[in-house]
Amino acid sequence: MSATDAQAPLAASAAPDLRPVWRKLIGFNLLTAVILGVGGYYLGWFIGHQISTSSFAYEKATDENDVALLLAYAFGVIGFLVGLGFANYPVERLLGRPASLREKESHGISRYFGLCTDHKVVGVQYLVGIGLFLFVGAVNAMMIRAELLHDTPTIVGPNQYLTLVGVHGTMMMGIMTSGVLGPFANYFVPLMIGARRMAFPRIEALTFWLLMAAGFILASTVFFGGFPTGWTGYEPLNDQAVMGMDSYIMFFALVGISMVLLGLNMMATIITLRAPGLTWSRLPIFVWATFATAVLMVLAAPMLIATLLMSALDRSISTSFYVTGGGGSSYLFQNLFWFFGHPEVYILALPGFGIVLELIPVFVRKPLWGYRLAISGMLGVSLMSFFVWQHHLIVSGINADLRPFYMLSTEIISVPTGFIFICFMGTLWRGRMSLTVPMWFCLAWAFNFLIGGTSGVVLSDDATDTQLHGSFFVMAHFHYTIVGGLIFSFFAAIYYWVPKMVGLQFNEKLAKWHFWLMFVSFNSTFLPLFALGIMGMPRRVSQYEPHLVGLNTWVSISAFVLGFSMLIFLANVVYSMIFARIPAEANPWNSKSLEWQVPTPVPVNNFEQIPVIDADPYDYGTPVALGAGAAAPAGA
Amino acid sequence: MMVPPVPAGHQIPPEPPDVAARQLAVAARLLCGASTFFFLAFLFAYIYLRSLNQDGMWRPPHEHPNQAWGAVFIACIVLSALTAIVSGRRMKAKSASWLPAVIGALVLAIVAVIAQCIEYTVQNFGPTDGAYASVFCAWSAFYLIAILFTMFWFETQIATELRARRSPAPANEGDVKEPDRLIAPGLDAAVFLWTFMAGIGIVTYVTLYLA
Repeated sequence: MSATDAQAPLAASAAPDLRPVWRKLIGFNLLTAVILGVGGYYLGWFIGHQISTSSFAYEKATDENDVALLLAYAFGVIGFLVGLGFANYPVERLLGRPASLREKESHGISRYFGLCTDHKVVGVQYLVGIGLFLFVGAVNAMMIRAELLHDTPTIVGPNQYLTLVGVHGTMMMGIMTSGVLGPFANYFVPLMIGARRMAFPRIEALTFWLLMAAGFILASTVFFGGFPTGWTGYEPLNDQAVMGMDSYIMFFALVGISMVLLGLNMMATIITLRAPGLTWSRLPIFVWATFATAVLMVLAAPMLIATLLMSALDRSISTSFYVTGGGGSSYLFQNLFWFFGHPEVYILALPGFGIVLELIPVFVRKPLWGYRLAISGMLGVSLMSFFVWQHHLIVSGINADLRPFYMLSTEIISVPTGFIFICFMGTLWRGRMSLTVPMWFCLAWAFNFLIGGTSGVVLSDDATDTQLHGSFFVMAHFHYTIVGGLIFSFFAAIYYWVPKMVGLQFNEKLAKWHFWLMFVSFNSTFLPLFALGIMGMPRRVSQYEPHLVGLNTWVSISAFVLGFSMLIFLANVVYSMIFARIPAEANPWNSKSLEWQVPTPVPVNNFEQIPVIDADPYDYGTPVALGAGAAAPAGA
Repeated sequence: MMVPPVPAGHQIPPEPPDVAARQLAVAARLLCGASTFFFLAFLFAYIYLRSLNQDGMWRPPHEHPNQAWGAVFIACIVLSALTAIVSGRRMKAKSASWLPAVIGALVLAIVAVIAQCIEYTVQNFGPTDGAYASVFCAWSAFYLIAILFTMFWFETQIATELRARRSPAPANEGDVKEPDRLIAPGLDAAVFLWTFMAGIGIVTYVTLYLA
């Protein structure tokens, strides 16, 4: 299809498609993608076996053919993307066809199941896709807690338990890197900045489909023996593991590529597509948070990709990056991984900051307090996150002279994080608070993240870290920051923005049940883990001291209630979106930000004319709404 | 339907090419940032493993990259980048001679890739022969992939220009107004990226061949 062909349907979409169903299935779509993906997988598998049987005695002898599996995954992903139509445009450009921006934006419901360059469609795709993998990760968590009801392995063996823990952690950490930027930033950043599109719409679609392919690859690890390393993939365990480890490597490498592209696209969009008058000092705080996150994605994720490529080479063609016997070092992996891994924590946390600070002015009806302070906090966190990574290696045995530096830098990073809290508290101060469901989630975020943050300061101390490293205390800490910080703000965003995305409102009673059950059970699950950690409960083992059974049983039951709260949320989604279908108001929260000034559902073109921004964001208490000025010429 | 279908006769107005031009410039710079951190991982691995010299296995004495092919490689990279810069300047001066220059840059870069591939076949070590060999082979191989990606960008500019000279794209059709006006900013962005990648190539050469 040429660039002009891609455009043609935009003006002719009213003509009904009279082709028979079988004919509609032929072309670049999800069905073709699956067929080519499976074909590519087997082609890679075949080539891998041809190479390895003639070249690598190890693979031949052990039937552990990492070359074949890695090639199978790589070819499978390429086939999948080609089937979706991602190769068409590069080939057209190679042949000299003119540049174009839009593709398959007018294909009805099929837009949601293929390559579509409408940022709103991609946002919805992300929301559903991420929800699917979050569900898988949550089911794993339930199985972990079921296993820990007893102090000896009962439901699954020790190796399967490690795989459960690994898939849970990796799925959550990998998929949720795009948990906010994927659905909400893709959908709302163009609306918030007065743009009609993302800077690179095809890349936007590519990031989503890469993430989906990655998710399925990780889930496939169970067919290859799983992996024992948890989400960190540490060497030398990584190099010694069975082929399931390759699934981990390919998953995270694809997530890394998706992250780089997502971040690049977000930054380019925010830098180049802001409406006239929307200066940097007028950007909504959520856009700032997106920008700070995107910086981390563009700079940190390439390190992850390189780290995992080295790992893949060690496992497949026996290079010696991390293999001590060949001159490598497993510490190299730890250094490289955490150079990405710690910014990764902020890739997860920063969008949560942005959501909360974006929402609370709406619900307390006053401007965001300390707007510039909040921005400096976010950028400060981004910058400093590159200078703390070795605190993850303190117990591994880093040079003792380096310890004070990393301890101090870790403690100091709590200062810009504290800025966010100050802005949160300052905005709440003397505000007229409406306790809506999104606001409840924002308040819960503050409570949870405060516990997560302060326990992080405790852990940053070398002496404490040496004692608590690898214990449930650490696990409680990062669940308070990631679940308490990100997932709670994620749900705040769902209840706040999804009515705009789908044009339907949630059942409020079910939403409140969801919130309270989730908040209470979350704290009931993770607060005792601090105590368990101090009492000596280690991570990643299913056999533990009998005197810890009581507390573990409490935690498991709380976790099941937490899981049940998610079922209430799912029930609310099904009830509100399929059965009740009550239309949402255009601006149910009386927000003044730009995304709420467009009709619901959002028109194809977002804005008939690009708005001119003549007011600061969060002008609550004044009659001027953001974006209420005169329109600029189209395309400006 | 969550996002309304495009209504009958609805036409999204084509946007001026200046917007996409700015995006290309920004994207090239951001790609430079991402590439820096990608190759920084290999530089870190080089420095870390060399300083550690685990069991004396960093670099067995017989391991030497082929200096002649390495010199051909880096010379082609540098010459290609310089030719690309010249091409970009000619483009800005509105001279039609930018096209042969950029074709020259493309050819030189491909010669560099071929030289590196030949070197793999003649050097006296492979990727499994210790830490240095691993770093050398992986770093240089991924650098070759980065070159090919950048050359793809150049090729699209060449092909678009050749097509535009034969039959210019309609000014008001499609979603970018006068899309052929994007050739110049596209080339400019590609030259920026390629110059930066050549810089990474010099660091690669100095580290792997001379240090």
